[in-house]
Amino acid sequence: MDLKTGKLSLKYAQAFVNLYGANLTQDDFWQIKQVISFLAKNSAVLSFFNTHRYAEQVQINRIFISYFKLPSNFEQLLLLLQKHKRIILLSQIMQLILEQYLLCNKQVYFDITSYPQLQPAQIKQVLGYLKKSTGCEILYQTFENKNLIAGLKMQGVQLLYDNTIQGRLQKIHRKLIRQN
Amino acid sequence: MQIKGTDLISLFEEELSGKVATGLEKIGTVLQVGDNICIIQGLQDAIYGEVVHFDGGNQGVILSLEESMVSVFLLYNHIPVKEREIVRKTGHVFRVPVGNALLGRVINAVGEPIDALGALNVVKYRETEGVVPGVIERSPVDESFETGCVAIDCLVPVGRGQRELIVGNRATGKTALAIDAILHQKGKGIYCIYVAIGQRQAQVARIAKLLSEYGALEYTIIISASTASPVLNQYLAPFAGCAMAEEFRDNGQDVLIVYDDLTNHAVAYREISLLLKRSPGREAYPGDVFYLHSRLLERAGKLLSGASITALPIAQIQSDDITAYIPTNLISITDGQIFLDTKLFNQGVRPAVNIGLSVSRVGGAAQTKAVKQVIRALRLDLAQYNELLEFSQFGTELDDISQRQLKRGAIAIELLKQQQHVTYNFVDQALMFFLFKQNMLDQLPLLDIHDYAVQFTNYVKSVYPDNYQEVLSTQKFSDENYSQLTTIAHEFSKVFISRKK
Repeated sequence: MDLKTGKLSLKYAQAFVNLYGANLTQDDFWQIKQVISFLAKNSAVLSFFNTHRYAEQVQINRIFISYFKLPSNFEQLLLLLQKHKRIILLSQIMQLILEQYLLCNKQVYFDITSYPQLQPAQIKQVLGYLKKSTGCEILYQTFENKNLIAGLKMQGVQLLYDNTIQGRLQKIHRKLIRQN
Repeated sequence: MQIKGTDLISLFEEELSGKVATGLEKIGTVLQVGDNICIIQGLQDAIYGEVVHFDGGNQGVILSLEESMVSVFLLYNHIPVKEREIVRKTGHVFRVPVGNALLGRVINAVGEPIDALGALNVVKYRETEGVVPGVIERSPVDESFETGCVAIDCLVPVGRGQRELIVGNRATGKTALAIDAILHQKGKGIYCIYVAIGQRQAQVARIAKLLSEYGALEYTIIISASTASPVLNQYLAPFAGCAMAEEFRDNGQDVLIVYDDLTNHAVAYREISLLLKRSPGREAYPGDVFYLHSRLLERAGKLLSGASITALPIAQIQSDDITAYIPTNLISITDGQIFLDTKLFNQGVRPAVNIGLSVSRVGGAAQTKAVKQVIRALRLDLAQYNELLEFSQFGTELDDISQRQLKRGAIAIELLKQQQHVTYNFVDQALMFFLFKQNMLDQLPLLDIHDYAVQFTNYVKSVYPDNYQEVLSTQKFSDENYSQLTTIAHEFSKVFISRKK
């Protein structure tokens, strides 16, 4: 991914949300999330979108949208990106669309990562804390990650709670890098 | 820097004994990186100039605030920044270490040592953009600041708290003049700060070695933002130096700060502004380049407490064009300028100070009385000399008065010549021009003038120390001392001639 494209992606995402944001549902949110995680592992798939024939473009877009059960509005976005030869930005744009969607709906998404895995009662407690702290509805996914060594990490778009051994070691790492 | 095992253990202990995270912290995420500039999404309550820390270990300073993102310039080139990397605010604007621990050290604009002399024992930090002292807190420039350079101290005198620009083409001795001024402060209780902006690292190393050899590094801090360092460091370096100077000043010290040079600083700021997509103005500089330098140089001055910051900013020009954008800005901000002329430099006049184009707007009031007594009308004599010199080149036969004026002008020029790293105090300078005023040099060949004057000052210092000390303590020639010195000068004349024979 070209790192100079962030601002451009933001413009596409803002334009999409301005036009179709009101029609997006929470189900769409999870579907888009699924696409992002799929593209993170299979970015080579995007090369199929680079066909020059319009009929093929439409066909590929429809397959993609129906496979991931995305809203039909995404077809317009895909065609535009194909036309501008910027399909490579798709994953980043989808991520930014999600962030814009959350902002519009007063929702906050958190990746709740822990080791060992949290019990349902603990998750309930954590969600209560997050709701109280942010004043927003919480969308979340839980993960177990042994690399944390121990502790709990909750990361949203602009908020972070990191009380893990890994986090503390990273802090020391940052200090050492700066000293060198 | 070598990391010791004990350092790591103490870091572990410090980190693990610290408080655990008790709440959600606000973060931003990297959206885009390139050209040392980083666009960050989030950090909506960030402040302009705030320092941010990247998860990967890099640091940056916020230089632009937009609706949903901020632009950050990175402080380090060697630490990579990744897409979607977490960025944390620090809650404070950029600050640098200050205090006596920095004396004798070579540091970068961030305040980290780069001289391989180990870590700094710093206990205090200061923000680089501080409050500028107001009118009430300031005092007029009325105390002499000796640079040790005869041409400057006699004809373009600088006072403590003055901002005097050194301007000239490349390789005309601008840095040499500033370094000599630093060397001359030895034993005078004035701390010096040399800020190298956009200089070659070899040049900075050479200066550090030179200052060390002359014993001047112990009262000097060298701040280096070389051409290899990120553009943000070059932008921040003079402000960092000024913050260090302000700390000394607030502790009652007099400080000399040399900005070498502000043309490179303006270029660094232009680069930053263009990358931030701010509107370019004349020569592609942003509209606030004047404010950039005025807010920096306004921080110099003398306070009522007596402490002062004297600034010697340096500006480089192209082809003797003093009317270029940045030099004219600096000329209008500062309290005068010392113009170094390529033509004079090539003629062997060193320092190549062009007296006609150099001026000191406030230093006259600070000049010592002894020097004033002997250099009266010198500037006029030199102006007439230059005029006559041009006229005489037409091959016209000159009358006796004109020939005498030419001879006197040539003698004055010889007296103003000076070797690099050799400085004179005001008594030596006054004694040299005492000879000139008493017409004691008129019969000498031009090549002997400087030697004669220097030997005379040494003669007075060693054979008649009372007369020398009187001028040093009272800062003026009493009538009695003046007549005694005339006798001494006649006596020395005989000694000099006999020595010559």
